[in-house]
Amino acid sequence: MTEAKDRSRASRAFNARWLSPAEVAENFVPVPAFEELVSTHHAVLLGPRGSGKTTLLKMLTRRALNTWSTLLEEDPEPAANLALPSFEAVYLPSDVRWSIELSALSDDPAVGSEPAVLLQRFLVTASSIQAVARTLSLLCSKDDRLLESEVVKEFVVNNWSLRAPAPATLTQLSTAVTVASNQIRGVVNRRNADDIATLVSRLPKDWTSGALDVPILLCDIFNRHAGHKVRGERWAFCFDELEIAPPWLRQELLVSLRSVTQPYLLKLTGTPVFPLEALGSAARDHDFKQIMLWHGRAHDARPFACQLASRFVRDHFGPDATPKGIFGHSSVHEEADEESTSSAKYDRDSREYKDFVKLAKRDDSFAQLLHEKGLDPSDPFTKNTRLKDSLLRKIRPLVVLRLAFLGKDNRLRSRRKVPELYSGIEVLYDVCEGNPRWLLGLISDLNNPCRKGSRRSEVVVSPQAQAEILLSFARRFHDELTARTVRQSGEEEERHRWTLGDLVGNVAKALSNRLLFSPFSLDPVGTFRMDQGQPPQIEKLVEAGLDAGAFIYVGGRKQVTPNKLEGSRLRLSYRLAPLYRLPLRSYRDVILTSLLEQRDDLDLFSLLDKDPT
Amino acid sequence: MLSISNIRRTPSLGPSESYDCCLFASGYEARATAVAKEVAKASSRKVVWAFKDHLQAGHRVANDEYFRTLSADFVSLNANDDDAADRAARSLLSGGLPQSGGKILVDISSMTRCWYAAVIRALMGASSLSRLEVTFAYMPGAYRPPPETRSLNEIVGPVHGFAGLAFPDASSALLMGLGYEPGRAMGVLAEIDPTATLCLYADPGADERFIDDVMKANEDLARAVDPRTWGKYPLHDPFVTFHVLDAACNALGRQHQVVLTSNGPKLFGLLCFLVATRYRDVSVWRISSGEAGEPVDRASSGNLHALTTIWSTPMPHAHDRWEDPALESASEVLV
Repeated sequence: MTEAKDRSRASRAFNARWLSPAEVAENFVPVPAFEELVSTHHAVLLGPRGSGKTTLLKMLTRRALNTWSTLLEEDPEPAANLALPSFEAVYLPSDVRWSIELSALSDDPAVGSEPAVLLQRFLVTASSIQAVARTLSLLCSKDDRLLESEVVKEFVVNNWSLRAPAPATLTQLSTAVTVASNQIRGVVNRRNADDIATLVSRLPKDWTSGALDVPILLCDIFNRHAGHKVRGERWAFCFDELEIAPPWLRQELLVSLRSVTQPYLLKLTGTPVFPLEALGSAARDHDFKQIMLWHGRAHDARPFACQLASRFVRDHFGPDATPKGIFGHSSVHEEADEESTSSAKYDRDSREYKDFVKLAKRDDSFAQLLHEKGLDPSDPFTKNTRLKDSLLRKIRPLVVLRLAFLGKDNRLRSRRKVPELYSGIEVLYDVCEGNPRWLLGLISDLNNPCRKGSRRSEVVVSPQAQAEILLSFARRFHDELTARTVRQSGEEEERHRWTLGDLVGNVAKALSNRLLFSPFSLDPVGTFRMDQGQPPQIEKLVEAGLDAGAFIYVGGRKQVTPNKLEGSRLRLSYRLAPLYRLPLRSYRDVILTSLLEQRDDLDLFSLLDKDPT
Repeated sequence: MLSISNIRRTPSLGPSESYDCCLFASGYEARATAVAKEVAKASSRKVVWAFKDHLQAGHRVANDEYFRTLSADFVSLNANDDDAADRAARSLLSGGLPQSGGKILVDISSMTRCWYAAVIRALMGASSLSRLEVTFAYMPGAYRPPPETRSLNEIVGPVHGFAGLAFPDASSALLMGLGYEPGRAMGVLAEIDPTATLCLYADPGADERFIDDVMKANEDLARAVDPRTWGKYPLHDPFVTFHVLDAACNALGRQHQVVLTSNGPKLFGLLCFLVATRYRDVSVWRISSGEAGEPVDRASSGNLHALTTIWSTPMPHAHDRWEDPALESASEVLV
């Protein structure tokens, strides 16, 4: 099996959108965000693509919870204390194809903007009816045919009186909705304005009003007939991917965070760039919970990543296999709570000590720093625990980075080999940023060079193989960023013609340049802040980068989404680190302008290494 | 309303052919008149869709002059005006064609995607006709190197009139015709995030150098997609390519919502539209930088390709009876 085949299969396998709720439950690893999501409040779940938003929404559904309960009976250990929702969740799917095609109706002059919105409303309502019908069918047992028929009949009589013959079951209701949608597509695609106007005039009025009106009505009817069957006697409408929904739908749902009340809840997902201004009077923490699925500190995602990776490794390598056993420890990235005093690190025989001596010989600024801190650059040994923690541990990643990429003359080495600093399980976890799709895809890629049959206690994927795969993993991400569609505006001559990959590359090169070539500092630059006056085109690219997971908000441990991009502190995703010679550390920030202005510095890369990316 | 009931291999446009109408496009490309020079005498009625802009660029003046010598009717159109193209295409089909048994030729060589999409929409919506034979002709351009720089993808979405609008219940499958503009195919892939992908490129194409350029422009795609999902199609044989696309849509459509997109030769783009007419919810998408490029003259490569399609009022279950071209030797697939 080729690497590409694995890659393709991995991509399919780990996108929760196309997994059934039961499949999602089978692979579910509980995260703290789930506990927040199951509360009986409205919630907005924010995170970049692949961060697990869809998984969490699907886990709220009855079908997923049933599977989860069955799994718990077999093995109660993994998450016996997992909080479960006390509401009946209706998962309302979305995807880019559907959203873009809906939005494109508004761009078609033959349809017109007002009819386009009415058609979008009809189609969104139709899709919602199907989603509710799927949920109701789980609540109606085989003996409940009468209940099902009464619910459908009441709904059709009150809301779809034009339909003949009237559907009598939930399945027939779904089919009728599909047929109606097909008819709409046929008329719209013929692009005859008169036909479209006639069609729009005949749409059921209730279906083109509020996005939640018809689904709530259908649930209300069910409640009247069999409310006791509804979990917690509450409903949660789980709208996925709000950021790609038509603007009117996004606006309505956000406003509904305040206006929709019990027994109905909203669980919405979106990207990190949350349109706060669209919230109207709804207030964070008061009207709804805001749940973030990204980690300013990549360390914070390690427990989740470890659980997910452990399960995957057990499934593929046997019950005794562990991620650490297969991939080994990183030589650079120490555990956050690791005490330097507890190990032989930094002793005279240690690799760390030798690295310090080696760099001090080459790099005067580093030798100067050691000297200033009271250490002899030719013998940087200390028994002082505080000094080890406050200095040596702190500077070690940068020392390793410079040794890995700079030759004796302090110029860039050619990139014949990917440095092994990008290897080890901690690095694998950090480059994946807590993104389950990335992590599982990456471990699948790493599956190939795994020397099966090796003793389990040994590293079975060599550090060099890991580093090469991480570089390829970074490069593929950069390809995606470069190809990403970003709709710009403004006059042609005023535009930046950069792709998102160009922006990411320029920021990354500027940061790498500072980290490698600036005088060695205890507190180097590694992040940036969006300063005032960035052109709208750059802001658009940064927003797209946040959505794609290329940029990550950096804040305190308890993060909140910034009200606006301006002033926000951001870092590059660690997934890009192997491609741009960056450490897996955030460090202090500078304004974005200062990074983008230093274009001359970037020549160092082009002069010394023709292929930095 | 018409739908495709049959297609026929058309290896050449010989002097024995006659058409009730021929539609050409006049722009700045040298190849704009190449097909007309082969078939114009075979038709009593010629219609030319003339670009509203670049009136003095390239071969535009000479092309217009040539079409005037044929006594063609000129219709002036913007390159991307769907509405105007729709009106022009409906007008073409509503005037002077027999209700059944008419024959027209459409030369797409210098047309924009917007224009030939309009022709197909008009065919699908033609209510006054019961049967029409439509031959699509295409003269590939002579080789020219691809753009040196990669441009930002700004517009991605369905071509007007070709949106599947299917509910988001099933995953997407992406079927792409690859071209030599870097980043375009990868852009659609990154946007849609399909669960199944099929990448097709012209080999043999109009020039061997195109193949190298396509490979180079899509290196990013090669890193992202299983190489075994890449396939070739013969540019010179649209009959086979139509069936390749049709079979792929049929197979992928059982589990996925299929999106077709073409970044390669116009002929592949045309075939995407033709195949999409046969399926209820197959979409045809486009991706572009949204920038109006500078006029670039395209000389004719000299190898004309054509496909004849038979359009008639739909027959129930017609498409179930389409046959695999690999299994039949006749040049016409009967339905």
